[in-house]
Amino acid sequence: MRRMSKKDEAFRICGLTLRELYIWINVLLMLFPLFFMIISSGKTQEELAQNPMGFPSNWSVMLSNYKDVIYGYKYISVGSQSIPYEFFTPYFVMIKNSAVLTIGALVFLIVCAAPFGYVLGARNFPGKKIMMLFVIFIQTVPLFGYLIAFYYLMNALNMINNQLGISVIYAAVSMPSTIIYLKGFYQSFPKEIEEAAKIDGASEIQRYFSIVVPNSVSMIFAMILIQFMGYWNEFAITNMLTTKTELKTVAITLMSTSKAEYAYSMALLVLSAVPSYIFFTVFQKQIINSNLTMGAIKG
Amino acid sequence: MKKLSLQQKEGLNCYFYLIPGLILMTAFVVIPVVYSFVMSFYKIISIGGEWTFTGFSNYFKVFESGRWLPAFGRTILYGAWGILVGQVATILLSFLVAKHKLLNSLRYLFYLPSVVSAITIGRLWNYMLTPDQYGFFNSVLLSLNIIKEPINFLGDQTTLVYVVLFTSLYGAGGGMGLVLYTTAINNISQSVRESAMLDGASPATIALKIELPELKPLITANIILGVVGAFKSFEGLYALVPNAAATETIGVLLYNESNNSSEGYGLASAMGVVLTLIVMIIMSVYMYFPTRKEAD
Repeated sequence: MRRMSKKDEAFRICGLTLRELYIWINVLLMLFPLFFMIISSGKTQEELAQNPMGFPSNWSVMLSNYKDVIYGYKYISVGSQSIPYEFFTPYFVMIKNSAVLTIGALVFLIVCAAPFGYVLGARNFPGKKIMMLFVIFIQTVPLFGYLIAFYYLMNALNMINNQLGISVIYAAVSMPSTIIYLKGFYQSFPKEIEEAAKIDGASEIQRYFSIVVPNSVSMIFAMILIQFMGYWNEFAITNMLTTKTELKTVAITLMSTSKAEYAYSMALLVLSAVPSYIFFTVFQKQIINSNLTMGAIKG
Repeated sequence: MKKLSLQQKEGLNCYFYLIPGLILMTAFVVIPVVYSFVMSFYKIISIGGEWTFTGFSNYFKVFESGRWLPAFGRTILYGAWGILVGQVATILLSFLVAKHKLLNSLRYLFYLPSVVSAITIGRLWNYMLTPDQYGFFNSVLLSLNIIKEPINFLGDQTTLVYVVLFTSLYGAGGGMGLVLYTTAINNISQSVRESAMLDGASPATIALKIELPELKPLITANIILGVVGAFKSFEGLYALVPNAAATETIGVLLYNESNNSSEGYGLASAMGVVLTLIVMIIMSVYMYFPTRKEAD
């Protein structure tokens, strides 16, 4: 190795300082809007207008804002009093709606995509290429180009305002990418165990449920983690196919708030992020690992 | 009837695994796509209303309406900018962070903006950029005496273009890209790096000549997926300003047309079909690329 001269040493320290500076400025820039969101959720409608930059003057406003979100309150002034009435969908109802749609879609997704990916990756059968092309075709379809067709279809099935119908559509449109990843995974799935079981006389179904499924739990879990956020935040399909207030999800309410409801929306922005952050923090390591697996399969 | 060989039987068994997925994808994707294709030849004023056959006129209207081509241009502009800024910022940050002692914590911090939905971020920008006294940016600029009058960030279409370009900088260096790139950099074998160092290569040379080429497949994949993503995404822009010319990309245009179309829903369907063709062409280029490179 070269010997470090004084100049080199100075150069190196300078470089390291610049690196730290760049990194931490980036961190601050990324966190600032989130910080601003939290600060703003502690202000009343008037305070948001008069003091958009500073800290809230009274932190207890934050609690009352969050309370409004939880109950879906909006205020009406009667004389000198302002009386709350339920105007928005209550917070936990929205969370429940998002959860129902997400869980429903995940169940449909895994039940359909896991066996599909398995045969595409690990088995040989006539028409395999055509099936693969079919999956790729579905993947290219931009779903919001077909919102009206979805509406007609669901209307014909009498499934407008039906959470089951919406979650099936979620699952169907996101199935191709899951199938492609699973195919990649099953391509490197060891065939020997299955062969041994076959010799022992295990039937097709027995083999699938006692050997293939238990050995792909981690991969299936990864697929769930990857899809979760997309389902949780979905907007276009749900908005098209629901008309009832009690079926609204967080994403839809966020989109529909107006200027006169700043205080409410700021609190809702914060509370809407809470489940996502909890989910991410709990599954942080797994989410990052599953994305790495996906990246490796993609590349 | 001839008895099936064991291999043929195994092959047929495979179809049982395909059935649930095939049913779902056919019923909820193929049928809507075909239905949309049929709709694109009709004039349909209201959902449930009468259909009038108009031949290809909806397809002509897509290009004549004066909204498709500008929206297409914006999609390309915002998409290209997003990919350029996103890739440059991510690669730069990845090189700086990859060998950092706090790599894991930094990855976590840089991932935070992508945990919340595009809608949340879009709404937040909308509030921060409001033209009146509520807006954070205007009040900062006013209090620093940089401007005398509040800027109409979201109302003026020319300004709005810059606003969109500005807001897409947010979170650009972080997220999943950073995780993938830092891992790829750290997976490069240490011996390659050491022998380069013995030859007197500077850290910058190592980064550019050894590490960057290793990232190439990942970068290519991310760019192509970014292009497809630009055509498929709309939530962020729609949440920023729902009804403005400057945020009307292909995705937003399609969404607006599907929800409230003055020209009839046939036109929206025709737009959907054209968009599908575009995405398909891009995807087939993507699928064609790696095989060709291997052949070279």
